[in-house]
Amino acid sequence: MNRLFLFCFSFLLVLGGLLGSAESATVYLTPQKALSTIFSTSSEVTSSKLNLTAEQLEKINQGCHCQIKRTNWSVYIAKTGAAIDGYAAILNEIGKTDPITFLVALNASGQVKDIEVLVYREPHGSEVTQKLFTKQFLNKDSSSILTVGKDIQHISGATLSSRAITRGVKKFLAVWKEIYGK
Amino acid sequence: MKMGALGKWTKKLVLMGLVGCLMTHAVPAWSSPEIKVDDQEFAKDEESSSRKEALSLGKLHIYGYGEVHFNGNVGPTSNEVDLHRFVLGFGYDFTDKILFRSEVEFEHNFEEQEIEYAYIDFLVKKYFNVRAGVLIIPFGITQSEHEPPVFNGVERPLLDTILIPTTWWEAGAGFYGAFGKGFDYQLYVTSSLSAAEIDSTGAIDRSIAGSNGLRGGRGETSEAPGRDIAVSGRLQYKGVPGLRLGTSFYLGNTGQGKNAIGGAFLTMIGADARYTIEGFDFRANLAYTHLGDAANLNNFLLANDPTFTDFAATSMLGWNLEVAYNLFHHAWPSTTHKLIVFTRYEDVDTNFKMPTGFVANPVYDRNVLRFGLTYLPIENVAVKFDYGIQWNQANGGVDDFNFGIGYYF
Repeated sequence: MNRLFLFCFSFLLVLGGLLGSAESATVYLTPQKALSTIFSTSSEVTSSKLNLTAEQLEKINQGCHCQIKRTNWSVYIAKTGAAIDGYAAILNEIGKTDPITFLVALNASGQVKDIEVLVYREPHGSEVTQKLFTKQFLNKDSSSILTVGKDIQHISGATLSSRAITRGVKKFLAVWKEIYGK
Repeated sequence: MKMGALGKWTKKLVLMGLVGCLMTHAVPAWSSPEIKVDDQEFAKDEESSSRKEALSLGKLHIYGYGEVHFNGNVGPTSNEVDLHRFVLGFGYDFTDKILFRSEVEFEHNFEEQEIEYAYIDFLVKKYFNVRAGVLIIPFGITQSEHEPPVFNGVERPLLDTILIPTTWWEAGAGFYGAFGKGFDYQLYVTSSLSAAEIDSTGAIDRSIAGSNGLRGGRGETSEAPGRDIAVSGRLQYKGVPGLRLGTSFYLGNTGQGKNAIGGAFLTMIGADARYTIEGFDFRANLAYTHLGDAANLNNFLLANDPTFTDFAATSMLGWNLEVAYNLFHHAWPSTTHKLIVFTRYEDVDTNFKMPTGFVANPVYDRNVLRFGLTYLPIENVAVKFDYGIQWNQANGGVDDFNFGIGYYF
């Protein structure tokens, strides 16, 4: 029994060591792929660089009760001809210790159209990358509460990751409202 | 005649085929926008080097939790103050894929010190990773979630102290991962419990028993018997936000080669559920254990100590239900503080079925109705109070009340 145990143990260790050098799938999607899929009917996607002033940032933060620090934003705009189909931005929000990189896409009226997690770095809580979690954000806009425990249900055991996504969506909605929603 | 007819149909088919081909080429099969953003811009946008930690030391992680308790008993039994736990965790990321994690625990202000876990993780795929070392047996939920602010009540539930011997660790290796829409699993091969250990003087050192269930079976990987092997595992589902369903098992001999006992094969199965919604938190747990050769074990213990009465059962059964509500959820929605009121009912019988020749001790068929408050000014700190009404089938039981403060980082 002892020998069998030792054999299994060492086999697993060696296996783990060999496989440990392989790629672990934390990159889910590239931004290009995400945008192509979300705005599949659009003819083009361009980027618009925002440089928010301190006043604009303060106004936005007061309105959404968020703590946006980032002044430089790249907003990706999907168009068909002259008509705007939607907007998107890449967010980086920290879950437990590592940032989650995700794309938030809005329709032309500033409502959430889709959320795609691009990179998930932490060993737990990856359920937040799936539709079972992100579908809760559909059609949310800058007037939505967007608080875990209220209108957004967290994934059991992944409260921090759930909050990170929620925070990012809230931030982009608030920025969109200030710049494009008037 | 046949040839001519075939020829006509063939021509029609070819014509249809050609038209079909032309049509598909004229209309695009699917459309895709032209992305007029260069790769560099995307790369810059995705980049984030920030990391948040209690102590930002790059690859080294330091974490921990602790709790100070006041335990009071209603009646003449004495009260106690206790720095019940002081735990320090150390982790080190050798590479992105090879990680070391450990926890050192000091209980009762240095009365007991142990290493709860110390293992190396080899990250491979989301659905397959390897873990080896001293690891926590994945049975039930308290085994993996027992930082003070994450459960209600000062002490851990009776089910998790008496029946499931939390915290329970063994040496071994296995796999874990996440798959599908919200499933994750752990599966390990490890050392096993020991049904009974006799010290050098011939006295019973520890054993599986009625009073404290499987607790006495734990070797705590401290020069523990390594003859028997166990397989344990857990499957969890979190596909619905707010919901967690889990099931666990443990299978392994515990006789550790003692001929008088035999194999003493232990089977454990458990199920747990949790649902949080609108400030409410519902929890349910169930565990059942079956021990083979329980009669032999009891006879072995009697042979070493003829006054022994704390007999082990063939099977134990326990369950609990808890309802908690955050009083601030609806009454004070803007706050991030939480004031949780909870109640938990437990039914734990460590003498559920006895082996032939042994009688169940009604004292070990226990019930607890506990209620209390947990105040969390922030997620990491909890101030707790609880009162427990305790009774057993022998019409005994001492009520208790407890205060505690706990933290984790």
